[in-house]
Amino acid sequence: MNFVFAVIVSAIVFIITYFLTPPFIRYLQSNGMTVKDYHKPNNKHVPRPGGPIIMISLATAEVNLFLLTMNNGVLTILICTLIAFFIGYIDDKKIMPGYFKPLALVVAAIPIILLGTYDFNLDFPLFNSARIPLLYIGLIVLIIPVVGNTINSIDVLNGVVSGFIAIASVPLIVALIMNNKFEIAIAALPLFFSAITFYKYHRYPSRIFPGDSGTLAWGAMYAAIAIVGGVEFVAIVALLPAIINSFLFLASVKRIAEHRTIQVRPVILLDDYKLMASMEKAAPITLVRMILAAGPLHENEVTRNIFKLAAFSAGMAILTAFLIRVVI
Amino acid sequence: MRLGFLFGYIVTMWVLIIIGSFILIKIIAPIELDAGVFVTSLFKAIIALSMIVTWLVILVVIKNYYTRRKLVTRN
Repeated sequence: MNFVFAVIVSAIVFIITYFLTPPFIRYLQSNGMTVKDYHKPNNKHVPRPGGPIIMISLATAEVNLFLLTMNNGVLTILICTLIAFFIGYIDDKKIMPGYFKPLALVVAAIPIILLGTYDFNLDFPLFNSARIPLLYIGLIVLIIPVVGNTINSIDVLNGVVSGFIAIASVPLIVALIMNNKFEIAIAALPLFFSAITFYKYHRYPSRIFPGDSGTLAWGAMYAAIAIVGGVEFVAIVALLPAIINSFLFLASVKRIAEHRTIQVRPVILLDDYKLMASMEKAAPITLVRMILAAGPLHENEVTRNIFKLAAFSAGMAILTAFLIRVVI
Repeated sequence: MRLGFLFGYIVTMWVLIIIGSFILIKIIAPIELDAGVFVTSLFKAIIALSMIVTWLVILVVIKNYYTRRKLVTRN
């Protein structure tokens, strides 16, 4: 039966995203909802946000899965994703201060606590688990905003965030299956299919951007699945390239700030539309700037390098999932 | 190799996670003081937070070393 449910939710997300995104792109264009793509010639504008299509597909799949399974974990993941989507949509429509998203995303953590769909036994790789009832609630409140913003901040070039989520969701699904959390694994399938199907339109050269509504929905959903499924460490390892990006940025800027408010850009656009790392001391350190440290690259070459890092981390995350089952 | 440093950085973070897990589970968690539950928990929390700060300092030092060599040529 689980196999049938998996096919149903995957097909729902794929069909909605694949067939409704093109008309939605035309809708956004006809209503002037576009933003400049700074790494392209001829002042190219790209429709944004694709978040509503992402959310409609995810919500349709998760509602159907909840009705089929009546699993509260699925309901939690759905509500958490919806709240994050609305927070992102506000940010898409109105320029909000840098602290808005991290603070507002705390609200998305509340359904997990209220519905009690978590296990406060934290499974560590190699060294068994720890029971941390009170501390774990604090971690939930922290994890949703941190992961949401971490995924949001990796949305730097065409196709990066959708491709990254697709790659990073694989070890999550593998770990859930290894832990016999089949219904949560099925709830994670829409995340993978949403990201990989949206990638068709988001990849270089992008025909649509997900916007904050799309990236925060994916990020919060990823974190909610990790918490509800009890695979937090696997999720952390799979997200390491995005975590490194946020860590490098925060460690160099030393405050929570929107990228658009940074005066000195980390990356310079050359005349041939290749990207080059800034050599300014005041420029923030980012993952893209680190990749470009060895020399200029075209935008899609940088994206491929980020995917290599994501695939490497996904492999290490699967190794971590095995190590969690080994106790020494 | 263009991604050599970043692959190394990911592995370093992963190793720090494993070492951190060992310290938390095998060393800090079993600590029992004769000063009551609250003081014991506070003591454990301070050690755990100190470890996290140490890990962050290690990562910042590695990052600064690499960026000074590769990314900064002028002020």
